[in-house]
Amino acid sequence: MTDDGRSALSSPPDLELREVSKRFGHVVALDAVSLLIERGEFLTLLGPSGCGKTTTLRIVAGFEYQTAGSVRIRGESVDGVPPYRRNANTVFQNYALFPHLNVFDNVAFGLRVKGLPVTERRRAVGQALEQVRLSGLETRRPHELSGGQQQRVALARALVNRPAILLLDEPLGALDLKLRKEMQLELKRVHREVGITFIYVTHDQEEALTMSDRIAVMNAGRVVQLGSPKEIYRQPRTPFVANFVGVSNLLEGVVCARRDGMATVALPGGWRFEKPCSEPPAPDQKVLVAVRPEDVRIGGAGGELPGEIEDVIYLGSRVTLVVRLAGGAVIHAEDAASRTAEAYGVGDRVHVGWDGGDCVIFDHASGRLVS
Amino acid sequence: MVLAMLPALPVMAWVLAFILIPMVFMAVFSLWRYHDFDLQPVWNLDNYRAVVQQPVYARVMLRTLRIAFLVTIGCVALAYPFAYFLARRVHRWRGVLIILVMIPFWTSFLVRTYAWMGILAANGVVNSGLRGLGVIDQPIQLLYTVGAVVIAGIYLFLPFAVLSIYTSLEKLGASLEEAAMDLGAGPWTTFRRVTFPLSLAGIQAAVIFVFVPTLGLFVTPALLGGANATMIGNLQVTIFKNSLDFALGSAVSFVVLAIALATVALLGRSVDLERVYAGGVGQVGRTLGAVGRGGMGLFRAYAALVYLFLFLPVIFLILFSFSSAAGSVFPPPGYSLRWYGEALDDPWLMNSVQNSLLIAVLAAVIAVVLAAPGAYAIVRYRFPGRGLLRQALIVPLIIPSIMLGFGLLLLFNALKIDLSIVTVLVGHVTYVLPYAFFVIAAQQYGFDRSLEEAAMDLGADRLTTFRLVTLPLMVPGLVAAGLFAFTLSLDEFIITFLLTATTQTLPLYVWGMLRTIVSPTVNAVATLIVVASFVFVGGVLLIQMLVRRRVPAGGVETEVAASAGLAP
Repeated sequence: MTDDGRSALSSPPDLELREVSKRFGHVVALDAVSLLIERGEFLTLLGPSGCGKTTTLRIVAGFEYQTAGSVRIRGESVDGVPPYRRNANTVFQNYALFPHLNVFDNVAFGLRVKGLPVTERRRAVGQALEQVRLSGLETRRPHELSGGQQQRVALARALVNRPAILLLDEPLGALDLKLRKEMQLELKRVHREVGITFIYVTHDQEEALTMSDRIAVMNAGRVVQLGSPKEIYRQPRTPFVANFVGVSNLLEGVVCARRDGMATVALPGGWRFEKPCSEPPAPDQKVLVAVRPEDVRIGGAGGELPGEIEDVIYLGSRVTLVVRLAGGAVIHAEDAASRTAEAYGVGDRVHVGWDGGDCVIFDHASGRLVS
Repeated sequence: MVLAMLPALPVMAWVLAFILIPMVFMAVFSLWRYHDFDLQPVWNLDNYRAVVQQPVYARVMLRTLRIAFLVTIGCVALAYPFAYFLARRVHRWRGVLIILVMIPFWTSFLVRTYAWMGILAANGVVNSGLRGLGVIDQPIQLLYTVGAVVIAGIYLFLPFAVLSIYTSLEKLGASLEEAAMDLGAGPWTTFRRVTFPLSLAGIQAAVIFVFVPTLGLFVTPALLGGANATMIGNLQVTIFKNSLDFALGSAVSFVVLAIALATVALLGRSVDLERVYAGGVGQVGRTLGAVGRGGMGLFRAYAALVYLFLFLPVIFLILFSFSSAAGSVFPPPGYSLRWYGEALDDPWLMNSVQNSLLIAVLAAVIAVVLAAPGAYAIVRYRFPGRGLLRQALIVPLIIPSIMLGFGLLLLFNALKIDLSIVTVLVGHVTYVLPYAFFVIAAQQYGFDRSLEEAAMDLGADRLTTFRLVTLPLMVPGLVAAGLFAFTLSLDEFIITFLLTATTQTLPLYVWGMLRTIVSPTVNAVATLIVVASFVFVGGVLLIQMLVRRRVPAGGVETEVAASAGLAP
């Protein structure tokens, strides 16, 4: 991927969306979305409900057609191509297992339609069921299976066709937390084993961070940031991403000075910190400072932002302190549940601060990243 | 858009030809003049004037309204506590108890009406009982009174009311009541402020399903009311069959139609009639296995009385069929099988059974073949005439079925088509078509569209998807619709009565017996009909239970709903 020329020569990307838009009447569900997904990648479309992630998936699957732009699978345009002639398969949110067919016939469905000989069909289905660890349940009906098992059947039914792209539409949404965690790892394992491109839709940011090679964060029909989980988490490009992926404290501040590659930001409590910036903003520019709770330092010493502990939330391995600052803003600070952290109590006066390198700042007016 | 209309074309054509056009004929004829045994296109309002001004019509019309009103009040009053009992106090046996309520549906309407003759006759069950107890010396006049018609009406339509109200209470669920109690409302306040207001839709549905068919009663007043309780249906039949004054008959029909539609318009807005018809009793299977908390003594006793009311008439009928007496004498002086022998000796019985089966099978098959593609299209696509089709199919469900018969009679007469078994068949198909349609449509509404998307996603084109996924999943709905149509057709009386020339169906045969020879043979025939329908329904339920283990969701429930036979 580092060498664009070479990868383009060897094979086209598995999926390419170019300026894809979708309108339902006056409602714009997708607004010029462009994506390039390499072979074998695990890409997650992450966003709140109504952000367009499921619409994107349905357009790739062929259940809906875009109103503008083009979609290519392995370099071939699929515009106007019905779902049954696309090299992509879907794992549906509610699994959509055929209730009148048993597990074997469900998984064999795609192969049967393609007219694969029975012996090959049998072998492929057996292999797929083995892959999702469901061997032996071939004759069961979907309603006789648990949620997790149905999920695996749905996965096997799609995978057995060896599609170029596997589309997963919130496939773990119906499972309880513990099972969901299990299935996340399971999906990762299957992804590694089959090497097929996975496009995964979820609104669960933790799930996205756990599973993906890259995440496309979507909001209001647009991709607002595309990057590795680490990039998305550490360097959010907009306040929306900072807030949607993980928890961020957002505070207003003003740039009070700048010099080479460094801006000094002043916060209402009087505390100033230095922030390394490639292109430092102009002085007096109002900014939004986003800082993760785990990057917030807590101490009793002066100089930083003074405040009072309003709540102590015990999370087992970690402790979250809710601190109300002198200016009225609230900051969440997270720390490992050590003796010191646990020693804090409601009403304690503390000072909070952070390293300039651990936060990001946005232009207050436009929301654009400035650091 | 227009392509999407294709599957619906057959059913649209049928509805147009045999429901809408007859209505138009009726409207036009009601404004013409009948003279010298012929309809003359002279536009006037005399027919309507006659309906309002001539004392005969006005009296009968008012009596019909009074009877329908009393029957409705009686049904709702009896049904509400009973439905509440079923929905709230019973858990373990709820499914069985509801099937028990539905059982009368599966028994011939004619037979159930006739059963009351044996109870109300001068030497019938009530008079003999009271005399035996020394309460009266002389038999009191029960039969051939308005009261007899009202009691039989309540008996006949009570299951509609119970199921309508039960459905709304069941849907409401107990959690809202628990919330009310949690917020400090006592049981009575909870009922008054929460339960009752939220079950109003069920009551409105009950009123529609009782009031409207009562307006069209013919058999019941004819058998139990005599000259004292002639209803509008009897009057209409006399006009259409005997005097042939189609102009006047059309006007009378239109007045009744207006009352029926006004009732529905007034009460039906909050009632989703399609749902009530097609899915109303879907809970049966689901609740079969639920765990019980037990009922309250008072409710239990009340429920037992309602069941007695529902079943005693038929039980007495069966008892009389084994009586050695040549009449419905209670208690029977002795027992014998001679009436069965006589009944089975009559070749006309077998002939009418054959006709009934032939017509029912054909009507069911034709109705399903017409309805299935139409229901498929109406659920999935928008096309011109979609709304009209739906409305036109709802209309026969909410007007007395006798109206369909009059409409078709006018049509055939106007087109100079002679009455025959074919006209009977057309009548039956028209009658059962809406039921078949909505049973299939309800199942289609419940159909998970992502299953079709999944099939296409896996490489199946539209036709393959239809063949491998859509059609197999439609089958339970088609079977349910077919069985429903079959049972409705078997029991149909009034439309057959109006549209037949010489063809006799089983209900017509029974009717003939009741009108001519008053012999206990009819008890034996009626008992045979009851037994046969029980065997049939029992078989269907058994198959359902076996199928349920294999096919989940949708199908079976619809089928149970269908077997409930929410049909007048």
